[in-house]
Amino acid sequence: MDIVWLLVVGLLLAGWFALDGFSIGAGMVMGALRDDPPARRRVIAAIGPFFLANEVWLIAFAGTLAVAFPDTEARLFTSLYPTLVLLIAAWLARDMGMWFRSRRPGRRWRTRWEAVMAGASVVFAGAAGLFLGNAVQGPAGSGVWVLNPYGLLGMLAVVAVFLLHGAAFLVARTHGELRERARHVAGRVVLPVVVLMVAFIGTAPLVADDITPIAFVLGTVAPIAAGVAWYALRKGKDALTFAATTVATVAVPFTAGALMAGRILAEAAEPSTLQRITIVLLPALPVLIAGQVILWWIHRHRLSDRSVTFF
Amino acid sequence: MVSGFFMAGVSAWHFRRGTGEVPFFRYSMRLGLTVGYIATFFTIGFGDAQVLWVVRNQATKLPGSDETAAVAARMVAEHGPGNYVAPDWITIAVTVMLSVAYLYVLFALIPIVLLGHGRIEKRRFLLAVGVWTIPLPFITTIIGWVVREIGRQPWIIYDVLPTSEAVSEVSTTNMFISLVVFTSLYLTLVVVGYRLIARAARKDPDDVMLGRTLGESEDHVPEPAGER
Repeated sequence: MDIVWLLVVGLLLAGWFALDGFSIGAGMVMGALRDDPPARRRVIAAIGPFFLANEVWLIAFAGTLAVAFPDTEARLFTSLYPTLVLLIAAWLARDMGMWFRSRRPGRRWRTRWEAVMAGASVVFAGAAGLFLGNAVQGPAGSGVWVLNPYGLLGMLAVVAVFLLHGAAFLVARTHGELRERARHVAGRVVLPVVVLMVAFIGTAPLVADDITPIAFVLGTVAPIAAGVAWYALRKGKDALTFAATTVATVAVPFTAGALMAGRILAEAAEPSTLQRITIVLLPALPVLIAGQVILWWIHRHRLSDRSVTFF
Repeated sequence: MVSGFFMAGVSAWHFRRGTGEVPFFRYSMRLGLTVGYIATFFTIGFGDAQVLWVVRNQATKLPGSDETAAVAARMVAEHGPGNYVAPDWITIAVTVMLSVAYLYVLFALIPIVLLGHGRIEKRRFLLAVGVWTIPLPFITTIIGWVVREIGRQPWIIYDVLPTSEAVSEVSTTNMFISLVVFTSLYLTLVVVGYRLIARAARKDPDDVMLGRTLGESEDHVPEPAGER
């Protein structure tokens, strides 16, 4: 039962990586569109319908982790508290940018909140990566210790893979000039992502205490998927590009989870607790996933002038 | 209740300023008052049910009854010395909270009747009351939250786990920094949010805020009515 719940927790975090990952990445891409206000508006409209349904996965992950693996939650959230504060503050700022940007006419107002959103997106992704890179390692030190090499590698890896994923999303959901510019961004970041993903699993044995074969297999998925994304990008296959970056993005939390699976499983809640939440929470999962499928089906088309901007 | 009377208050503001659009704001006022009035009864129902439950089961949260002292004494015996009873002003806060709801039951009838018979958009005093009481349900909600949070202490799980035993090992410096960070972010939210909502409330009804399409320009927005 504890393995099932480890998979559920992993699925929820992976869901957040795959979904909010492209919102955050698209927010970063907006920072590269400094000279093009209409394109920035299109970025907002592209992620608009998905935005709220994306970020809730992180809340679901944290809540489920706290119930199913209370000791893991206590250990990580306490030792990595400053990183977590940074993550939540960046999250708040990113959402403020998204909500406030269109609430008043005037270019200066919009530009300011777009800048907040782009900057906060980078910090948000960075904090998530820093958290993961540190969580993989054994007992955490304190203070600036979080800025250790593997933590920083995690930070870079997540920022880069989110940027790639966000750019790939824009490639698949927009057309014309914005699609070209997003392709350009994705093209520049895809090879660094391959390198970072290789480094993320390649150097894991130096810091993690139990490297299972599963962790290693999962660890190779991200670089391979990023390689496929590179190929699809060159061939102009937009859907395949986005599918590949999704796989690469999802592989990161699963790899990190597999690297610490032993420790987390030892910290699972009592069987009676797990049984109770199984009855209450597991039936909700198919509903959540069905909701996502419907959402994506409704908004499966590329943006046009008739698209509603939502935010 | 909060949104209903908020909507009615905003409509009253438009009548007082004479921004036109009388049929529209009569409709929104009727909708706001009706929903707000019906919701008030639900609010009272749920509120009273909770107060009753708290008095019966968690007497230390609402000081004043005989039960309170007895439960507090038992807690001292079981969990060691400490102050387990909520401060006395909680009782006043609860009374204020309940009174506000009953005030709405009585006085909201006046505009409701006038909406049916009479030109409410000309009753300037009544409209002023409608505008100036917009904060009242908000304040009541906040009082309710304060009553709840103060009542929770010193427990993280009532009568089982004291807060002092459930604290994480986070240093005071880190705690302080995070408090400053989140408080300043939320203050920004409050200020910007308040100004944006006030701005939206002053707008013409035909100036939609959400649901524009990409084909429409972003800057085609008439000035807020209040600034004309």
